[in-house]
Amino acid sequence: MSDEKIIEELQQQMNETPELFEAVFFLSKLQSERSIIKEAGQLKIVPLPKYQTDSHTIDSKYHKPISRCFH
Amino acid sequence: MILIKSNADDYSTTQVVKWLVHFNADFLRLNNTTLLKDLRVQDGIISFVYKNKKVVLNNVSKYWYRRGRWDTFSRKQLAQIQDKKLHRYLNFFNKEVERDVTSIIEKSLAENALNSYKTSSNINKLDVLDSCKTLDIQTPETLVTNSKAILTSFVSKHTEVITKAVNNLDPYIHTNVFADLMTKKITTETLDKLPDTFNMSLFQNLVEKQFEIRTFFLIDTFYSMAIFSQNDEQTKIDFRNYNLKSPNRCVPFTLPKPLETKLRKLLKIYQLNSASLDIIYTKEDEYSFLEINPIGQYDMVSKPCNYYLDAEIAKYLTS
Repeated sequence: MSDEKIIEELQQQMNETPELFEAVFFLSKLQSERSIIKEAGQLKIVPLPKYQTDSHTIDSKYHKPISRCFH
Repeated sequence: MILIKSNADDYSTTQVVKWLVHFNADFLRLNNTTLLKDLRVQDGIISFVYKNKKVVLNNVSKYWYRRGRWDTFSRKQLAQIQDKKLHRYLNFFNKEVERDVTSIIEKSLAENALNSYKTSSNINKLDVLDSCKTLDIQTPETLVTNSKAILTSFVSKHTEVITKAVNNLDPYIHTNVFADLMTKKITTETLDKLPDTFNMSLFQNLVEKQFEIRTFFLIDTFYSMAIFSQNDEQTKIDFRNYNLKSPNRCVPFTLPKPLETKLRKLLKIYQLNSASLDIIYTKEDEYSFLEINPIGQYDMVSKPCNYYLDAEIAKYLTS
């Protein structure tokens, strides 16, 4: 299912059962991750190199979305 | 041995780990993707196998709970169960077991712990605000309601109000669809966007600020930073709406000692020896406490203020 279709269905669900959504949902913008990255401009999600230690490999792949990096 | 519980993609954990390597420390980092193999809880001794090596928790000198779960069952396998009812049943009971086992594991590590899953994973914002009252820590006036009519009366009284998630809402709703669930301003004009009833929501009067303060508490020290977010329309309600072209000015800051004493008492109530705290310095020259985040990112305080918090955490873990 496309992101646009999911957003449409979510909005419909919010209309049908508003009691299930906190107020902040109604004041927030529903959008796809793709559009957030596009709007972020120069920021890109960059995977960091894997980091080795003597004892074990530390998987430091940094794949979380931008919105979560700073919270 | 130092034991770290974190997520595979947590930047700050990796930075602390680099310091631990520098200090030649013996440590083990367990990520949320690490299933506990051959876990054994018997006669007060807890052990598991990691990469063919037996790890005995009695040998842990310091435990740092940073993020993530102690995974006691495979969520991947669970996701493959097609039958919805069986999936719900197993999901519920596996999580119950996981919670209990986590509790036992952390109990054995409590004396040498820098936070824990139990204390960090589910801070009750409403309870924290309530505790602030008893400790005489100033907070914005707060309303929790599911009614637009009650909210309307609150907005009429305060003119400008904000709403934010009661708990920690995940901004990802469905696959790649995201809702920007940060703090939102409500005025009499924007009230129309809300339905007559909604889920229980948290509202506070909008406190006019001179600047915001983000402070990181570690063991007994507050590392604070003033964020001049007020003069930028993009950041004035929530500084996390970062203005990347013209970032807010951030400088080291020292909280008054009486406030630090009260905040220490607050953190003690929730058994936290590490946490980020959000505070507003108001136009009336007062401090208004907003919330505690035990697993929040501290790098945004550490770097602008040259606090080297990764090194401080590593020093504590090796002490």
